[in-house]
Amino acid sequence: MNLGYDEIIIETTDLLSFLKQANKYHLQIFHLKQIKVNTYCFYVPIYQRYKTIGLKLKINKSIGILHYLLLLFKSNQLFFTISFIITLTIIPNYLYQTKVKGPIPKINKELKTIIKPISKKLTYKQINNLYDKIKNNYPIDYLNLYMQGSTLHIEYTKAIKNKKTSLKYQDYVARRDGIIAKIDVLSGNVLVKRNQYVTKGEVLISHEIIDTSGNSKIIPTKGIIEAYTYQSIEASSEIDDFAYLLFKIRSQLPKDVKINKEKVISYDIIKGKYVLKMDYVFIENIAIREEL
Amino acid sequence: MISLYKNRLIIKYYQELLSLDNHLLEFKIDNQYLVISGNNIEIHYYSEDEIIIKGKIENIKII
Repeated sequence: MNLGYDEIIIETTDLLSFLKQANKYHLQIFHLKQIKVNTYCFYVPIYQRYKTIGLKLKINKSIGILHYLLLLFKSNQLFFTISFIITLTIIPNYLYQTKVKGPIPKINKELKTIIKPISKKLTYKQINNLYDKIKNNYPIDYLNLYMQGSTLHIEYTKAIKNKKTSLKYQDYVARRDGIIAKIDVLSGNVLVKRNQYVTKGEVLISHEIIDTSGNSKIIPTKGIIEAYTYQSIEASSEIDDFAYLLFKIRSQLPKDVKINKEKVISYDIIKGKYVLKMDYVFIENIAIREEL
Repeated sequence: MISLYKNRLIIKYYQELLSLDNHLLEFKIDNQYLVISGNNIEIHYYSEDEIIIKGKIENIKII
């Protein structure tokens, strides 16, 4: 298969002799045509150019892919050719930047410099080693390393430390009187029911269960028991200002409770002072661990 | 060896090209003479052992 041809125009009065001479040089000739009197045009494969030069034939023009490939190596285009080859072969084999995607800026900064700016692309083994190195040195849960083009991508998520849960076996007792509103127990023997009235100190969740054969077992306890609790709060002032007294009372309310009901019981003058008395119904967690 | 392929006359293993113009071609093959005459005869391919000819060929003689 011929990939390119040189077009040659010769002037001769004896074409036959020329053809015999071409035969001696084993030159292949294509499309031999007479274009003028004693002027002939033909094509010779580019790979036979050394024979063409040997026969001292002048190349008029060249065609074909081989011709364009040879043009690339001409001195005035050598720079572009070398640049092209470098772009195509050498540059894609190097890593030029590292992109880090993660929530901790300090780690991001350190990981960006974990690989030198221009370094050879990593092999799978090197990526695995880098993965282990990062995993061991930084508090990271999820880590993903991959190369895309000339960029190394590092993606990670912050490590979430799981809280160690230690099992506790104390009973839960009521810290104040109330009517049970909600029972939310993860573990333990619940001794109360909804709407049951309990008094302070009463056991709500027990660590002990007794099976059908009468044997007792100890189980861990954990849970919340919310109850309606009732509380009266009063505040006094020397001036007649209901709003101020109401504010004073409300500022005394415990923070870990929900107010279910709020009712004014009395607003009197007692011993020259204005006294406001309020009744509250709270919903609060009344279950606390019994101290040993 | 002479053969026809796609309106082209292929002459293989010729010994010598004796004459050449637009109307006539003469070869020496197997110590015999091959004369091809016609109009607008052109050499499509020429090498040391093969010639492919195209054009309006009117006569082929082996002498």
